[in-house]
Order: sequence, then structure tokens, then C-alpha cells
Amino acid sequence: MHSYNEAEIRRILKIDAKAIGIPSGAAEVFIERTLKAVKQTLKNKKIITDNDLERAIAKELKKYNADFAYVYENRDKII
Amino acid sequence: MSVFISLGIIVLSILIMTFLTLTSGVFALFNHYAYGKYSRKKAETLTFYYILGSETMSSCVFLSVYLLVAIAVADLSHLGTNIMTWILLGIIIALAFISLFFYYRHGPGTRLFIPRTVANSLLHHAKTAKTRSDAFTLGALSSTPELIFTLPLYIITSAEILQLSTTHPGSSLLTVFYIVVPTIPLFIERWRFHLGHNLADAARSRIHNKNFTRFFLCLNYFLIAFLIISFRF
Repeated sequence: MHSYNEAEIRRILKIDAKAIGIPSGAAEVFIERTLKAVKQTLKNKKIITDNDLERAIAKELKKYNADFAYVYENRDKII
Repeated sequence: MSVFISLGIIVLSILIMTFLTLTSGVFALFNHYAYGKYSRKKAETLTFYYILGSETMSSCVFLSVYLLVAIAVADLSHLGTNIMTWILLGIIIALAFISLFFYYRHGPGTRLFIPRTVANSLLHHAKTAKTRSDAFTLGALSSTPELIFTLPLYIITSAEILQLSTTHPGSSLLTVFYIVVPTIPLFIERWRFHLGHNLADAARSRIHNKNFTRFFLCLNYFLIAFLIISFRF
């Protein structure tokens, strides 16, 4: 079980966004909106698992960029 | 005729090595993190060193096996090589079934047979590699878990090249060909990332070709076994 911190998630998302080729300004906007929406979605849940968090973030990212969401969701399923 | 059989076995072996996906999967992940964290120039340098590491490790292992096979053939030829051939044949047939049923884990994505701790360790190193030596080491490490698939091929290919070189002295150069060709897919993938493809494209392509890869590996192992049974006993 991990404890997540927002700064770490932002850092990971920025790396993914840059690698995919999303301009940094747009990436900041996507990440900000995504994290805001995820906080809203999960605020009433008593227990949040790794999968819940990952799925919620991927679901929000899909609205902005499909590749971004795909990479975030599947990076540990490649090897 | 024997020349063509030897060349056929070597070509099939090269095809298997190019279709094994662990090294290219780790490479795609490493490319992704390198492009995400560093400048384009640094990312391209690091990915080059990854390929160099992978190539160096494969070459060292193959050339060591080649030397050992040469010594074994010279020292043990009076014992007859049939028993070794049967053992290798059994291993090749077993690998054909393993590659069909166990190369990929069940479930989504293209998770491989390797233990999760090894996969997570490779993923961690792909994320955190900063310097050329890190990239080189990662490249070298990423090819070792697949030795169970490649080591028997190295032994068989070494034996075939040695056999060919008795009648065609220039055949030793096939060792260079055997070492260099399997790295071509890594260079192609590096070039694709340079042109703008990303990890999502690479991952989707791996999923799309998952079944083809396992059937292709299985078929090639069976073809090698068939050639050995038909022409080497």
C-alpha cells in the first residue's frame, strides 16, 4: 500500500505529458483539471485503493488526450 | 544441402531473437521516461547507450557460448554428439510450447512471463536511469531474463556456424550477422520515437501483435526442431 502525494502524481503526469508531446502549457491545464475532478470524485470514498485512484485519473485524462490516459493506465502492463 | 539447412536454422534463430519482446518493451519504457525527463538530445544519447548495453551483453553471452561449443565439439567429439542433440531438441520443443502458452501472462496488456519483482525492478531502472552508464546497464540487464529462450538458440547456432566453417571458412562472419541483426528492431523503434511516436503507440502495437508473436515464436521453434530431426540425426 502506498501513500500518494499530489506533488508526486503531478510530477509523474508532467513526465508522461512531455514524453507524449503535449505542450507544457496544455499539460498543466489538463493535469490541474484532472486532479480537481479526481478529488471531487473520490472525496466521499472512505477507502481509496491504488486501482481506484489510477482509474479515476485515467478516466479524467481520457477527456483531454487518449494517449496520455492510455500511458498512465498501462505503463505497468507493458512488460 | 547441409549449407542451406544450417543457414535455415540460423535465420530461424535470428527471427526468434528479433521477435522476443522484453528488451524492446523495456526500451519503449526507457525511451518514454528519457523523453519525458530530459532534453531530446540527451534522451537520444541515453537510448543509444541502452542499445549498446543490450548488444554488448548479447554479444558477450553468444561469443562465450560459441567458444564453449567449439571446445566441447573438439574435446567431446569422440563421445558422439547425439545425446546433446537430443537434449537440445527436447529443450527447443519445450520452448515452443512455453512460448505459445506462457510467454505472455494472462490478463490485459503484454505482461511477460518474468517474475513481477524482476519486471518492477526493470521498470524502476527505466524510470530512474540518468547517465550513459545507467542506460548501458539497463540495456545489458534487460536481455538477461530472456536467456532461457535464447541460450539454447546460441548453442545450436554456434554448432551450425562451426559446422559450416569447416567447409566454408568465411562462415565465421555469420557470428557478426547473428549478433547485429537482432538489434535492428531497437534502432527502428528508436527512430520511430525520434519521429514522434510515443509509448501509447508502442504499447498498442504490442497488444495488437501479441497473438501473432506467440504463434510466430512457437512456429519457429518447431521449425528448428523439425530441421534438426530431419537433417541432423
